[in-house]
Amino acid sequence: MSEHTAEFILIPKLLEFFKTRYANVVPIYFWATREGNNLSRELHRNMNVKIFAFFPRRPKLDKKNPELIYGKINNLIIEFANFASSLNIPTIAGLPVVGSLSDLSLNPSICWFQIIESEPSDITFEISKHNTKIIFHNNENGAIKILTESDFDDIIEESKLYNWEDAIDNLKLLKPNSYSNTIFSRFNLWGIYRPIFLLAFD
Amino acid sequence: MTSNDNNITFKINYELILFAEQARILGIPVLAGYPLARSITQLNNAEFIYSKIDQEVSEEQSFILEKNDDSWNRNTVPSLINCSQIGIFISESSAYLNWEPVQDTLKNLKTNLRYSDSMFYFFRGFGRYTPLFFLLGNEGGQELLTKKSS
Repeated sequence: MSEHTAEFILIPKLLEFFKTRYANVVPIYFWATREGNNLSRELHRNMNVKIFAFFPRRPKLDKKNPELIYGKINNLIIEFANFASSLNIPTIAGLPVVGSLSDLSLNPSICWFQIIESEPSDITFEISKHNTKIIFHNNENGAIKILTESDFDDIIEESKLYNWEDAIDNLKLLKPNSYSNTIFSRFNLWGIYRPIFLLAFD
Repeated sequence: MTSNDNNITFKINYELILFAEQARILGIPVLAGYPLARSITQLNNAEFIYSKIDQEVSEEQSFILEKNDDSWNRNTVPSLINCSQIGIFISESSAYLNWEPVQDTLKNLKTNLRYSDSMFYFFRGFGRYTPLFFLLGNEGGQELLTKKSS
């Protein structure tokens, strides 16, 4: 299962959390020449918006341990979150606890995470399908925080309200080649780890 | 989109029509969907409309929707399908398949397009116009219907 497939299940769920707090919430892929163009500046002029970055994660399976789902938060995502955090834009990740594609239609349990500013490294973990308990293999510096629904209030509070012009300028900055020096990021540009942005309009 | 407040332009690309021709042969009906929104904020509560990409949509085309008295005039939409008819459209035009052939079917679709007459496809496979596939199955997930929307 790819991240994109997980995304289709995760985004509507995530929107539910935000829509109890904001009337107008829209998930976008940001393209500078589309969402960030001059017409967009004109149409959304005078609007204020909070930005949240979201990374869908895919469940990995091991035939030897069918009761467990494995997950990973790549160091590039932490690198991204560090930069986004400097702009007061929170970074969230989500992973559906499923063992097959058809399980996705059965209102699956979802683990939600916030990525906290920290030294980038790959964080791996396993989740019990039975009770969705998460065991981290390495999260000693607390890069990943497990979220419950009430934590979303704090995340919304943390996010800075930007006017549309500044929001676009920040979204343009949130590309790997502007915050990362690794060769992988430079070649990859938005690459595999491209976030979805949730825009909550004031 | 233009800065005229009362209309939206949509386009059905040639690549989408090529895809649909191949998909139909394999028993996969194709729908295109359009949000009736002129800005990102309007997407929040937007209405959506759909076209069947069937034999009647055989050429690349653009169409304009105009707003009159707060409602969008849909007469210009090619092969418009009402939401209430999508279920019937799917059951009439898609094949039930076992999971293994489904995987092969999707792979073949990609290969056929890659080697179709357009250089664009030769380089891109599914390319820019990556479809979203809906897999519809019975409770046990033994059989699947596939449908595409983009």
